[in-house]
Amino acid sequence: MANVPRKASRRDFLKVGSASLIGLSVGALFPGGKWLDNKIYAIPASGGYLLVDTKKCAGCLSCMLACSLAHEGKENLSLSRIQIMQDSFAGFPNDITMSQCRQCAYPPCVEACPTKALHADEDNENARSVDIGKCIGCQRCVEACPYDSGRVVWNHIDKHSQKCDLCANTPFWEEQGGVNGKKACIAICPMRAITFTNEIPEQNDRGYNVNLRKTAAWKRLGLPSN
Amino acid sequence: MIARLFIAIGIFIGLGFGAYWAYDASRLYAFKAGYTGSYTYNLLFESVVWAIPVSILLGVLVGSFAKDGHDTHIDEQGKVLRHDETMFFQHWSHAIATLLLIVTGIGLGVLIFPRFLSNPQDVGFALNLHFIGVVLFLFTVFFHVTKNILTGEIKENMPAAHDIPEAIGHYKAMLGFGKQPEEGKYLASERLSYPVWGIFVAGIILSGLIKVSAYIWNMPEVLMTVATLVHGVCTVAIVLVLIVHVFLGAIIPPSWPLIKSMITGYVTEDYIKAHHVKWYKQIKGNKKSKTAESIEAIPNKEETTSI
Amino acid sequence: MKGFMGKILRIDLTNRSISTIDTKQYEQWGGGHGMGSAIFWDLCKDKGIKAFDPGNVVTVMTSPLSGTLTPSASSRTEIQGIGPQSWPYEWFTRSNVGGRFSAMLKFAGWDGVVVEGKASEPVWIDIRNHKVEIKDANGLWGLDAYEAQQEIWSEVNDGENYGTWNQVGTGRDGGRSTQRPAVLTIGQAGENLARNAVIMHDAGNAAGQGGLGGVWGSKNLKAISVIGTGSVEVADPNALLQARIWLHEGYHYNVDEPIHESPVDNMPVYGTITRSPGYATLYIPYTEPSRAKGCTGCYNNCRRKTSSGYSNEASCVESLFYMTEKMEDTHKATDLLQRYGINVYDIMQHGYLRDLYMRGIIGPGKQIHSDLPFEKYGELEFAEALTKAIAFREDIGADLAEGMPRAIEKWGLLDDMNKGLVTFPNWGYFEHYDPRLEIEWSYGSILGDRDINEHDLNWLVHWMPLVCDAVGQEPIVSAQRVAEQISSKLVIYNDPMMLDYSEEGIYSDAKVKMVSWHRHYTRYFKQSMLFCDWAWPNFLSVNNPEMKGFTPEGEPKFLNAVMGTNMTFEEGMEIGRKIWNLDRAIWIMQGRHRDQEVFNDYVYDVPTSAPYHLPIFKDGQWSFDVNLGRTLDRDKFEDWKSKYYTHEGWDPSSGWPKRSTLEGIGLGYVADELAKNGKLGRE
Repeated sequence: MANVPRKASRRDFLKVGSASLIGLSVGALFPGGKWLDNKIYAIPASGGYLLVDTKKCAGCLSCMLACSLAHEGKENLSLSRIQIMQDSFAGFPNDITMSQCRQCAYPPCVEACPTKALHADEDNENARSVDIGKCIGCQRCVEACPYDSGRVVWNHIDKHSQKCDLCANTPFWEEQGGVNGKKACIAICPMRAITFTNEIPEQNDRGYNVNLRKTAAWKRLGLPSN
Repeated sequence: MIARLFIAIGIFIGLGFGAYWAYDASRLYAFKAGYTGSYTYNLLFESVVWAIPVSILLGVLVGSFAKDGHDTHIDEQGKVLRHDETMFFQHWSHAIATLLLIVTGIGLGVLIFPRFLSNPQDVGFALNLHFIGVVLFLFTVFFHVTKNILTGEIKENMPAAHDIPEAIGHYKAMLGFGKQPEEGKYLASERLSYPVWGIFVAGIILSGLIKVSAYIWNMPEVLMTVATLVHGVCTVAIVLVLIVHVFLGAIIPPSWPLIKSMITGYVTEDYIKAHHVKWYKQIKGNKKSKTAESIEAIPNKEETTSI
Repeated sequence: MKGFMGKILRIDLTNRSISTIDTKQYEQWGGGHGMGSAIFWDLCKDKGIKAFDPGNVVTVMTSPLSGTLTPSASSRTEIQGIGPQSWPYEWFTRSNVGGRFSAMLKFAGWDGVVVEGKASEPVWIDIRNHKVEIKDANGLWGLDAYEAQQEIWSEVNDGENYGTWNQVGTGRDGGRSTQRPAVLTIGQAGENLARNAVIMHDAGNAAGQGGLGGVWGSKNLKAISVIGTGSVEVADPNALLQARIWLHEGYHYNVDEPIHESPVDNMPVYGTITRSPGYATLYIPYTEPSRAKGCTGCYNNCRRKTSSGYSNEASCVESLFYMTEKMEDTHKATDLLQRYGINVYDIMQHGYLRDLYMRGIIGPGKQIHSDLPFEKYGELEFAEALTKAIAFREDIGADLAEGMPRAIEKWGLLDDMNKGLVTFPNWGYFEHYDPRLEIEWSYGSILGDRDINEHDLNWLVHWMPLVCDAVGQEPIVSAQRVAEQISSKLVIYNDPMMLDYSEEGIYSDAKVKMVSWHRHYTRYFKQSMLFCDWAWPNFLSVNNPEMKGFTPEGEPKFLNAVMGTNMTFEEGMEIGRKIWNLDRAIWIMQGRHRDQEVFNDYVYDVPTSAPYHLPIFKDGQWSFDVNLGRTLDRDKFEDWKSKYYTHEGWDPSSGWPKRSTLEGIGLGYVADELAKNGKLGRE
């Protein structure tokens, strides 16, 4: 055709019209991205929680070494989903902090995740876990965790978020993990300073700190039981 | 030329607003009341996800009203309008969108290439810029495809069987062996590369739409991993094809007139006489005078038209 | 082989240059000490130099196990170089430090650090993953070891507090960490080139022996700090996890329900038998609320952290340094040692100084002038004055900073030493265990370079019967069982007579095998692969009903799980033998001859006068004896030495290795060097 202004033919109208109709219908399925929000308000509580006794901890970091080994197959403190921080020069008991995931009842990390990568895992009693294939690396979960050392770990080597899944997914450890299975940190802790419960712990500032030192054997050692 | 300047400025202003929006949205703010220490930022992919199908729709809509505007005659100054203002807008907005997507995409991490960002606000900014790029990219792609199908230009873009020997001959001639074959408006080699672009662009759009779906529906993890992988592979492919495209289309001296025409719109009669003989033969009879509003069209048997 | 990071950091302080050594060429030496000796052999051309010569090469080495879940083998660091402490010769020496350093160095991507030369001004080395900088130590020099570390922690974190995730580095290599950098630093004693200066780490870990703190001071090196966010590869993660659980279940003290526990409340020293947590201070009980504290990856966790913060992480003689009426003052005295960075073992016998004061030899205006407040001996004030004097070379501290033996020599009081009034049996090192009796210890020390500080047999042959006696119990196991069970594990010899400490037994062929076994085992497993001296070997554990021990199964189990090898215990012993021979060659290049390997006179002349528990075989029976009234026989010991040298394949006339021995273990190039210097043993 030469440079003649094209008259709108019937064919054109049909093409444009149907395209618009299809487009509008598809567009109607996207109500402003609010869909996911409705499901968030009813995140079920986790069926399992790690409890720690910070006064019993010896700061050996074996839990951290076990965690990264079981999950990633290598030893890396920065990839451990439980973090122990300590100051050699400080006095007991404020010299050590144990930072394990609290499997929050109202988890900000789950709410923050735009792709449902961080979700309550139905196959693991709703423990809050990351599907790493769905993680887009936006790091909103990392920022959302309100606790001082965020319990969501940014894996800077494989570029995705990860967090304590109560050892549900430990490809490098041949034990059955998860809420109903074994947890590497609990199995390895030489001080028996980490334990586990299915009941939601009391929500306070103490970070699920419990007293695991009430035995006569502990007292025999000359260490405090309170 | 003035029009093109305005179009270019318009693109940059639009981009500027988009970049500001992306930046502002990526700043952290307190997330949950009662949880001090909990922060988040606005991920545009999540909050404005409807802009993505809308941009596709707009591309189709506007594209169906666009006209095939390239001239088919040689004007009095011996110039031919190879790419009109619509084409100028379309090519350059698409190019900028592509570059923005590549830069932010690589910054965020693709396949084995390292991720250069690690601060959540920087990551958020890159993701939001990627979103801006996506909206513009989708609009321009669907605009282009709709327009070219409806106007029939697609037939000039897509390769035919005779393009393979023609391309081989073209490259042989460039290396000094043999004579240049007679080329149409688009070189045979260009036409051969068109479906290559098409496959990777289609791949990146499809995988990208699957990835974007995760913001709306609960998607299976395996599908997301596959989509991310495809997205990455297409990214690498597109970067490679883009490098070739820029090299062959703008860097090498024989192509300087071409890159000029993508900006000004015009190529000279001498140029097409030398490099696009077939096209020259098609249009040489059509001459436009300065004052006349219509032209004398001398139908040419070689020309085929279709819708 | 997995476990290695592939690169050793090499720092030339003279030229302020930073380069790397490929670990591959040294992998055959295992790690730690083996690598350190091999690197020293290669890099220190003139082995006759003095310790404070800039040409001295200091190696700080990890092992493939560092940074892994291997129990009590995850974070010990072996530091070597020519040491100024030993007397009268400055032998090439070693010192080992626990805590967090070697693990963190591995996470940063390094298998070790080698330091050569001397900086023109005080510097410290800042390692953040692969980013290494030599920095001006202007704000650190002059600070004590605690202050210096806290200052470095603050600098590495840009002045921010710890307690959250911190970015380490930027871009691709940067990761995050919640951990504080691991720092090795000297105190003022090292800065002032004390021969008994240590290298400190955290609150209570020290590379204590050898005076390597003074060597760092002579190089103007204040500290090495490292923070890492990388990974240590493990060949078989599942095997490592299972091995760790195996060890816990079979041999670990169950803190909640122990199978065997102390019969007495708050008696840490019983932990030498049970390995209960927090026993490291031995005779010092808990007097304030505390926690047990362990090094990275440890399963014993022998140290402690107190509420006051005093004597955090201190162990053994550091805790026992200075007895006062108030425990708090005793703790504070311990902290002075740590802060100034002084080797407690060298000045442990400060009671002798007080004796000199009481005898009128030391004091204001006396033969040896001193204004130290001796009248306050037994109170904190004296300890403060004494440690400060040593750290800053003031008053008699100027002499004591040369090491107590040299001070005694300068004062013309060697007679006191020879009479055993103050005890330095071998190379000017303080008497750790009785040299007349526990001879694998003394012989091993005199054949080497320092007090060995290797407790392998010592826990069971000496501490166990001693502690049981102290609580009024019969020994947990009989002397016979000790001899049989331990010897069954002394691969390759397996001779019970190796454990006979009787008057005849200590000169026997069996003791030749014992000392040889000990040298090789410790050189490879403990000083190269870095299994901790307070957890390995494990000959007998009271924490399982049968009282089994996990040596020699345990060592290869963990090594192979981490490294992906198929190593046997025997192969490890052979590498140990190779390392021991290389060390021997280095000492010979420094001038060693058998004639020097003699103890201080008191060992031969003064009979034992305090009960010292050891198993003896007498009249066909095993028993634990307290061995009073015994000396070492000079001639019999010389004969024993000849037997020992022959056993090791060394020329008994000189104590130098023969070429055939060296070539047999791949050290032909060492034989060449010895031959060139006329120091090769005759065949």
